[in-house]
Amino acid sequence: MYISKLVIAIYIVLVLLLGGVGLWAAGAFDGLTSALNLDILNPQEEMAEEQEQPQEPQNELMTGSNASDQALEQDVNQLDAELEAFNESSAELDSSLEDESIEQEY
Amino acid sequence: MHKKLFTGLLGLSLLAPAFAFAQLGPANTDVRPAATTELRANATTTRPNIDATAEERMRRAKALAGQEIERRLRALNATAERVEKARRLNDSFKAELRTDLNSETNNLNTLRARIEAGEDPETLRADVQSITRSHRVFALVVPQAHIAAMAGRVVTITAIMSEMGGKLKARTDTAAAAGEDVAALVAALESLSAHIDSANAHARAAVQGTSSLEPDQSDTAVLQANQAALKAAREELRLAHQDIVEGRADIRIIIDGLKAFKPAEPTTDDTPAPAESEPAE
Repeated sequence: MYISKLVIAIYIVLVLLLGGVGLWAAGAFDGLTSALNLDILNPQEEMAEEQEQPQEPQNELMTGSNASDQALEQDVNQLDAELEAFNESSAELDSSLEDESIEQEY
Repeated sequence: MHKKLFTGLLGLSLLAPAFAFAQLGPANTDVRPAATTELRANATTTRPNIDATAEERMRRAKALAGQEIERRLRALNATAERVEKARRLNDSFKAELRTDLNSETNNLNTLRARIEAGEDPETLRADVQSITRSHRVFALVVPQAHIAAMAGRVVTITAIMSEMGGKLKARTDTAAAAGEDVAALVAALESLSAHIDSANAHARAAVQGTSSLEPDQSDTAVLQANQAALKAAREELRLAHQDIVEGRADIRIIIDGLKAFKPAEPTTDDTPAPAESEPAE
């Protein structure tokens, strides 16, 4: 009597386990996990998606890959223009670092 | 403290004549009626003068406050434009800077509207004083944004130099294959590469040292730490600039050296410029 009850209990547990595994395999729990927002489960996927987006422009030179003397001189001019803009920004930064408020009265 | 004392003394000195007339008035009515009439007349004309002086002080305070707020708003707008044009800053960092600049702009616009509409002297005084206090925020967010924008420009410049380095190396290799002595050019190329790396490292340090700074909330220690961080970042950018200038000198040496090898030029890729470099129609 006791053994038969034990066998039935084991049978029920096995059926439940197999059923659970089957539902998991069929994706029945996907909705639940997404509802819980378990982002931590897929960090690799997120990183892969981020890496697909280009972070920076690949070419800065207006002459492209042209390596002639003339193109190189144009590259130098482009570099100088950027340097000049950098110097302007540098002056603005200095000005902002030395900024003082107009004295207020009242 | 001194300003308050001075204001108090000024107020007392303005009130003194009226007080004296008030003391003299009723006591002397029967004795010197003519003089009393004159004194009363004086007393009634002094009150409008006091009001007029107070109004003039308020008007002047509002004008000064307006000038300062306008000056800051112009600087914030100019800085915001710099940030928007900084292509090398990532979007999230750019958004953070934009939020800080917009927040300060909104605060100043609100303050300006309140001061312009203000008629209560005490409220106006508090608002005017808050202009001076809020300068600490302004003096943090504007340099912070400039530093980020400049660091972004360093990265753009070093990208240009790096691409040029690629072309120059190819030309140098070709010259070497043709039997030219390229030792000086190779040394300049190595120097250029080192300057590019160094400039980028300085730019990165400048941003890392300042990107997370927060307003000091009147905490002197935080204020001093912020100022030190901004100055350190300024120095990093100065060193980055120095690297760029020296790298540019290396580029000049290599180009001049290659030209001296004529007629070997050019044996590397000599394709036409890409479409985006051509003038727009």
